[in-house]
Amino acid sequence: MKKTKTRSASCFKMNNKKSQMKIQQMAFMLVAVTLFFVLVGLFVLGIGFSGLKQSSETLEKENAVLLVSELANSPEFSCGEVYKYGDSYCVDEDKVMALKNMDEYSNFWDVNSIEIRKVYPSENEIECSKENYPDCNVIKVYSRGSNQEIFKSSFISLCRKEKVLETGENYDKCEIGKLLVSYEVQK
Amino acid sequence: MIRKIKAQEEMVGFAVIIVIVAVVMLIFLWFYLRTDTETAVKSYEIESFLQAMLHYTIDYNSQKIAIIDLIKECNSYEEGCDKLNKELKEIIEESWNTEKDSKIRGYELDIYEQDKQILLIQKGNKTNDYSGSSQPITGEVIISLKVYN
Repeated sequence: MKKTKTRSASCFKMNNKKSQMKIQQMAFMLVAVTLFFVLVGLFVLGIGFSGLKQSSETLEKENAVLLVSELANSPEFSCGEVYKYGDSYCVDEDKVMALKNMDEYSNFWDVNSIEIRKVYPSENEIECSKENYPDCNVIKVYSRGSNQEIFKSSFISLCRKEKVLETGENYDKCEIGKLLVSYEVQK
Repeated sequence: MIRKIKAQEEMVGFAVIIVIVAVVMLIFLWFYLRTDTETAVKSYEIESFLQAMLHYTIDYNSQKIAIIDLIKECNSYEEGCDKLNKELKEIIEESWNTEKDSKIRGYELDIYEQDKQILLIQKGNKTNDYSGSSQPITGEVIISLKVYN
């Protein structure tokens, strides 16, 4: 009788250990499966986000190009046919000076500020006014002033008409400048 | 039986360690991918720069001409090439800063025709991360600029 009791007790102990082991195995299996799916999810998210980032960069680039080139090629800024090489990215400096601080245009462009800076030949920064033009290198066309703004810029050829001293003939004087446009951050 | 259980436990432990290492590696990979890879210079800036540079007016033989005209002169008659080289070097040096604190490591301006190099200006280091643009001047002459980040 005693023998059968001890046998059944050891059997119970063995079974208990086995089931504990199986529970442990199942728990580890569950953890492994969960981690596997988490890893797969992270990979998918990573790929997804990299695509999103790329497309947002492309959009940002397109917007910047559109905004700056739209301004540079607008009738108020562009060189037009008056200049020999007055195609894209050519800004008429004389027109810009005439536009400077014109109140009629303050709400015409949907931007915060428009500024033109001469890049080459580079000199000390002198803001242009009617008195010192063309011996200056920064033209602040207009500014609305805002704290949260994004600046976009593009190189432009900044052209004006000048006279040859000896002959009195007109020629196209083009320099290298940058058109800086700022607009408010969309929340 | 005890040995078998111990071996199983060790295997499970090993698997857990592998999984933990994989997770840590993945987290590192995730952060690496998330880092800002925005380039310092974008290709549209270079495109607009090339356009502006080609129209820059210079004095040549007591005439006022654009750089694009001097390139044509240099290519057709091999005249004014030194002047062209000097002017382009100055313009690029002023426009693209390659000093230590700058994001730009170097640049390469190449004016070429099929099987013939007209002008090559290089400065700084070449890297795999670059932006560039090229455009035709005349039928076969092409100007290209690469800016290395």
